[in-house]
Amino acid sequence: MAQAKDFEGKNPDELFYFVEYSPEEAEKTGYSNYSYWGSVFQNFLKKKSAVFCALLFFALAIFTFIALAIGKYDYATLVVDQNNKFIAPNSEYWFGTDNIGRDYWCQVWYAAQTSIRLALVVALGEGIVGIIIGLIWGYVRSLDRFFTELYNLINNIPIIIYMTLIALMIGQSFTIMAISLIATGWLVMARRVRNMVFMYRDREYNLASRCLGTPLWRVLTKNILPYLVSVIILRLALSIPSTIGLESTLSYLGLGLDDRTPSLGVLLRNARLFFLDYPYLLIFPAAIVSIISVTFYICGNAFSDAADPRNHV
Amino acid sequence: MIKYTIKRLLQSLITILLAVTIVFLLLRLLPTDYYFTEDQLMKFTTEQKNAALEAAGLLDPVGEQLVRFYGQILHLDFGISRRIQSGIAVTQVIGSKFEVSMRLGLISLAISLVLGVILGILQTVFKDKLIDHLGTVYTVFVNAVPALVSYSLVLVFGSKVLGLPALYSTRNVGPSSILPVACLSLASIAGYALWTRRYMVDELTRDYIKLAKVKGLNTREIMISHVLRNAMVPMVQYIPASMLLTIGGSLLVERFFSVPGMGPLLTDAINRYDVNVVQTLVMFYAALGIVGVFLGDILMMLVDPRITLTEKGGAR
Amino acid sequence: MNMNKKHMIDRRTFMKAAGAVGAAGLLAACGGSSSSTGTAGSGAASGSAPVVDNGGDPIANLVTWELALRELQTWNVLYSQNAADLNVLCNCVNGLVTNNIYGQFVPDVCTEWTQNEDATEWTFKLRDDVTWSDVNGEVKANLTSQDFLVGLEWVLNAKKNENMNTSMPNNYIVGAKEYNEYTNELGEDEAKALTYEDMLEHGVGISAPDDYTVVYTCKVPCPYFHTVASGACLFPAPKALVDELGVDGFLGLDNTTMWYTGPYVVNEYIQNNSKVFVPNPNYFNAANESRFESVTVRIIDDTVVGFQLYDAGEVDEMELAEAPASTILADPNHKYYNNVVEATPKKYSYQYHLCFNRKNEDGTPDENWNKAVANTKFRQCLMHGLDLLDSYKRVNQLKPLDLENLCYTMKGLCTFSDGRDYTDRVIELLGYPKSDGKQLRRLKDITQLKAECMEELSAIGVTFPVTLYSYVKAGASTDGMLVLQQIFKDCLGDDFVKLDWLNYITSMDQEIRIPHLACWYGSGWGADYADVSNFLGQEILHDDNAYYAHEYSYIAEVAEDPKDYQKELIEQFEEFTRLYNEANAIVDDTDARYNAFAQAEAYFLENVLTVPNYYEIGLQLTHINLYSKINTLCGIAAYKYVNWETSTEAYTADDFAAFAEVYEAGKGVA
Repeated sequence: MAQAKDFEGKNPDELFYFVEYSPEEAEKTGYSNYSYWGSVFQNFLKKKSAVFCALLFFALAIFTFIALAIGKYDYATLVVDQNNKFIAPNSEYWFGTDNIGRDYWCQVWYAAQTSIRLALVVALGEGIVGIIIGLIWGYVRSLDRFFTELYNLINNIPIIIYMTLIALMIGQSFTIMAISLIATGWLVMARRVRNMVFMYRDREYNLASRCLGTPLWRVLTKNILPYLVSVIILRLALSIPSTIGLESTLSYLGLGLDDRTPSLGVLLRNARLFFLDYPYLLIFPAAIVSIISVTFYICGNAFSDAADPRNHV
Repeated sequence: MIKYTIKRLLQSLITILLAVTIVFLLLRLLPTDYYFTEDQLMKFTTEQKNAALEAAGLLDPVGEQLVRFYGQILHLDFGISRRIQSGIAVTQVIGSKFEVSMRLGLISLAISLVLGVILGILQTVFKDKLIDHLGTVYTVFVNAVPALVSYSLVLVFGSKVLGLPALYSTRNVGPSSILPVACLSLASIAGYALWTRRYMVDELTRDYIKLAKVKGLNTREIMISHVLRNAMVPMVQYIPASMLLTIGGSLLVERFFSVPGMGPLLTDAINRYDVNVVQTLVMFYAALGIVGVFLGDILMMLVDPRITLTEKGGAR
Repeated sequence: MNMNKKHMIDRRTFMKAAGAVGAAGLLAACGGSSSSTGTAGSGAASGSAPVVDNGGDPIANLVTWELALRELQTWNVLYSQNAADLNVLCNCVNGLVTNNIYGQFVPDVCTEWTQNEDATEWTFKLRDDVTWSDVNGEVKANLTSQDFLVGLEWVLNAKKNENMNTSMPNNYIVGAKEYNEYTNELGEDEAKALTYEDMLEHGVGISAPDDYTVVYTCKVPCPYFHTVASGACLFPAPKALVDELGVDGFLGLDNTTMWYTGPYVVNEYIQNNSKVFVPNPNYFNAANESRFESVTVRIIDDTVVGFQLYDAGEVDEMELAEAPASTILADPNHKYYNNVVEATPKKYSYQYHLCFNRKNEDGTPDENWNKAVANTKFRQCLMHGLDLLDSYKRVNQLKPLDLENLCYTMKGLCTFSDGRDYTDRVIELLGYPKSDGKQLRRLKDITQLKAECMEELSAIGVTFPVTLYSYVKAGASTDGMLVLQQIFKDCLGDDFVKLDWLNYITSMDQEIRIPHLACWYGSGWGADYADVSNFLGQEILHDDNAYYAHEYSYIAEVAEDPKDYQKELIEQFEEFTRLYNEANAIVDDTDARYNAFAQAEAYFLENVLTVPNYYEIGLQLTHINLYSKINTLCGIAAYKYVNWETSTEAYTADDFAAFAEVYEAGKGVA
């Protein structure tokens, strides 16, 4: 084929030339190497702030392990010493000490590990369960009432009662906590998904699909789900800080993780009694929770924007 | 439409009944030690404990208790509170409190709805500019910092710097409501702003918006008449429920500022094993919640004519 | 002391002192209408100047606080067993007997009491000027002896009062238990229709020979019955009100429907927010007791919010939590540095009750622990080796040494006729040194003891380290446990005893205590009546009423079938029980009785059958003179807002030292 540089310096008379007929050339068609997910990531990577946030989050997660390794004190051997309490951050105790004289640096980073793990597991679990149920709930008319009543039922039983019973009968551990939080958290995701599905289910293209006999799962995943990606991503991003907050409340009521496992929620709850006098006890865990929330939110927003096919120019 | 409404409300009644039965049974599974105060636990022998529980009717077989409970409900007798306000009818206990919660809640809802949506709109109009980032910072920090901490900060700031009264007081309703309402609104504003922005940004990339721009509509008109209206559809779902649930009050805010409302009532009642109050509250909140969801669905249907709830319109 | 005297005022000693005295028969405080000024000591005739003048005026409208979780639950004093309720109700209704600031028992609505020779019959003469008023201050009825009959019937009637407050009447009054059981069997309507006449027919040991006399008959000689009468179970109930409201209505009293005999009337009550007390215009003792113009009690979520309130001047006293106390005390220039003073001591004597029959989680006995704890030397190591000062510092950073409790019975409850406190005698018998101001008095060098103990125990198959299991509510702060764990490590050594803890979700009793899962229980006992038997009697063998023996230490179980290594332990308990019974039999001479009890208690503590722990004395900032408050170790009058000395300027530690001096001086008077 001719290239632009072939035409440099030529006068207008020479710009056109005859092309011979060639059967192979005639069959060639244009194609676009558009891939949906490829474009999504391309768009995402274009946003500097989002990339920065994603990297920041990974760095934070990795640092939680490094921090424990380079810390001066090991979590398992922390010593209680009343004479050392409430020391502000200095070179010996990088984050200071808490109200019974234990090093705060290792507590904070150990707690960060636990919280990040819990939040990710719960967000993922909630997301999967919530999306599946929400799609079915919104799409299949005959099940709408059943699910609505189920939603109402679960929503209206106070969470304290059955968290107490679970803790009493089954015990407390990371896994149990994660499962309980997923079992109550899917409601929010499902409701939002269901509302969106309602909006799209009776569009003409869906009517057409149903007329053509497309199976249910295909209609849901190929027709409707792509419209929901942005809402889903945002909801996932928000569930991370909300899990940390909910875990903090449950720990306060004694229904959270067992008391040998620190988590950011527990540290924040403890700091509440002291922070007006010793703000550093609050600032460090709050800063980490904030960083996690901010990064997830910005990434989530950017991802949502990138997932909108109309942005894939 | 009417048929659908009636059918749905009847089903809701069954759900409420089911919910309260489950709660009834779950409460009976909890250890009865909850029923006693610390002082009593220290000094009571097992016999005395049993005697007190029997007098309160808590030792009868569960089936019998359940039947008795249903009988009482049919007569609209919700029982007597035992540990929240001993000897006083539950309806009276609840009645005296929900007005306060509702008032604070509705004021805060109005403020946060207006401010939140406006913030969301501003964020969308100035997307990726300074205002957008500031708004993001605000919403994320409000979500990240635990509620009690932000309330403590508001309290300290309000009482030291602004000189407002620290606790809610019925003698000084106006000024002493400012701090509680501020706390209630903080998180809600962030929530509404966040979701408004999300839905509006999704609308911005639509084809009809491009057409409107091409046709020469100015930004303001596009935003308000087109983008906002379509973005509000998924949002309005939550408004009726939020309004009704303001009656429930906010547990943390009311505890923190000593507001005599409904917020702490459920948790206190569970902790003190005041079963009559718990059951009545569960029924009450369940009814509110269900009606709220239902109204939300209706509202959504009204706002967007393409959505239908009934069997017509491409049922599957 | 002669038991047939009219006023049986036992002298008791206290930790704090000074302030005004205000009961009939003792000096009249200078009453102004609203200002509460104290009189200096009890010797001065009419001093109206405050003990300490720190530049402030007395407070007319007091604002105080209470925690949200201690909000009142019922307004019916006969139904309530909750300290939170009684703290409010003591201002509203009065009983036969109350206390003064030295904790001595003084008449309230009665004028005097007498007992017969063997202390089985007690006669109370009532005042004739006590009236029941409603919330608006209108007089509704006079208080007569009939009200006490109605009150007792109400308490004993299972279908009316749901068996609350029945333990003391059942134990002491003739026929009470039978009547109580009788009403348990009856149907609900039948029981509710019963009146006090039915109760008298059943032979319950109470009678009202005339309108202003009440006579109680006790099952066994009870030299301290007047202290039992200070409890809520023997309060009066006005017949006219019960008839007016009906049984259900009377149970569900609130501040607007109830009738008042006390110094204040609650005319505003908003649950979880505030209560307002205003003086009762018909209060019978108004001339002798000074009251505030109004008292507002504000409910707060916790002391963090409370401190903000105090800082803003919205409340007149506040307990200091750990963090503010640390900040204030760390900085001598802090504006509150001099104002940190000790708070009212809680009335409980705290101990660690050892469990002698611990079981593992699978139900099998924990032989390791049971063998160890049955060994006297082991227990003595726990007592004399553990330096609990760090633990006390978390409660009170200013003077943690004051918190140490070396006895079992509560300090200040019982006094000899020469004014010495009972616990001083016990400590004398135990031979503890005086406090050196640096460390706890109980500490001894235990290296020898530890070595001997480990040898003895290894010989019977105990593996070291022995694990001592304590317990903590899931979700509660584990700071206390961690501090204690460190103390064990430092003082006893990881090769000897280690502390570990179990969690319970909701109910300590059902999850930990009843399955015998904990090795010791840290708990406190508050007196129900003023006699040593109230404390020591919980630990003896062969007595169904011995609460701790049956429910905490499980020594009663062990006694039924002791193993070889427990024989010595049971012998010690038998000896203790013998000494106790000897002492309890002495009913005619208080000094001899207390002396004998002291022998029993000293034996008990020497062999460390329980590990005494501490007294709970926190820190506070306050505008109220602590020593002017009524001090009760049993009875409900501690929160009565009468005769309090206050100042618009906050008191300092020096002021409190001055108050203490005056209080101690005033104690010496009969």
